Amino acid sequence: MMQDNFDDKMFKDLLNEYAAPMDDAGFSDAVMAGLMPPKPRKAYFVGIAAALGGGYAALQVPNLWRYISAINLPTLNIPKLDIPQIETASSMSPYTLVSGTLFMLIFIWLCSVFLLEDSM
Amino acid sequence: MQQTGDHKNKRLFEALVRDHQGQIRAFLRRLCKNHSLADDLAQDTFLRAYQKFGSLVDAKSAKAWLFQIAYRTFLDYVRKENRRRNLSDLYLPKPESIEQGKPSIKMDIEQAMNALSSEQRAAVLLNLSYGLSHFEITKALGLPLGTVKSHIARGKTALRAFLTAYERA
Repeated sequence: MMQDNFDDKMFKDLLNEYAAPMDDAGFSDAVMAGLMPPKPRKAYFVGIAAALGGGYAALQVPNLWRYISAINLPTLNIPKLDIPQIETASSMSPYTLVSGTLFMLIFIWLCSVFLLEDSM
Repeated sequence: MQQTGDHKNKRLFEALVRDHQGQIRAFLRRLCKNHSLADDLAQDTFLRAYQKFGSLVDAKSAKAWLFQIAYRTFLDYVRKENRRRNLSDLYLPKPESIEQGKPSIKMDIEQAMNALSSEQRAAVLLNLSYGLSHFEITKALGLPLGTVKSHIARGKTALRAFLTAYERA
């Protein structure tokens, strides 16, 4: 143990000059001058862009709905089968669908902001 | 309020830079053997440290934390250079500091240390010169404890061999 300590001290002395700390010589000032103000998080930009895009898309929904309702599809004569009906998305009102989609987009956005924030 | 916090952070960080720049630069100089490159890497180290400053919880571990960032910065540089030059051997610039002429103890130590791999050299310097514990070195270099101990032992053997040769001469 004592021999180890003696050896360590000897090696430390031996490396004293080799590993000697450098003089500052303006280095710290150069580092401090080069510091950028902390960058705004990229995730917030993504979030803001998603919100703006989502808002613009939401404004277009009435137009889209008008276009869709103007489409006249040919009616097919398919004999009606006597099977039990299941409640599906197609039976929901368009307002429910649109609001559901918006909620889903907001949820995805919040998840991505949360995850990106952790990874940055 | 936010600005006051930023100013305080900047002041604390400046104190950290002034306290540790000497050792970080010396450490990087001995790893990459090129003074101007080492200073560039040191600058990069402190810029990275500033970005991560919020993650430094304990001020006592600041030194090991900075050495960890410095070593990662050095490794990133080496990997980038290797990819760029597409060399299988580790590329490092030619040493600047080996003086020509009469051999001296300074030169011999440098040669003995340069005979070690950069990983071994880093472990020896961190332990013997900058006083980091084995545990701190494992974190700084990202190596298992056994490897760190063996690197340090190998470094000591090289220095011991150098001393023996020097005494005989």
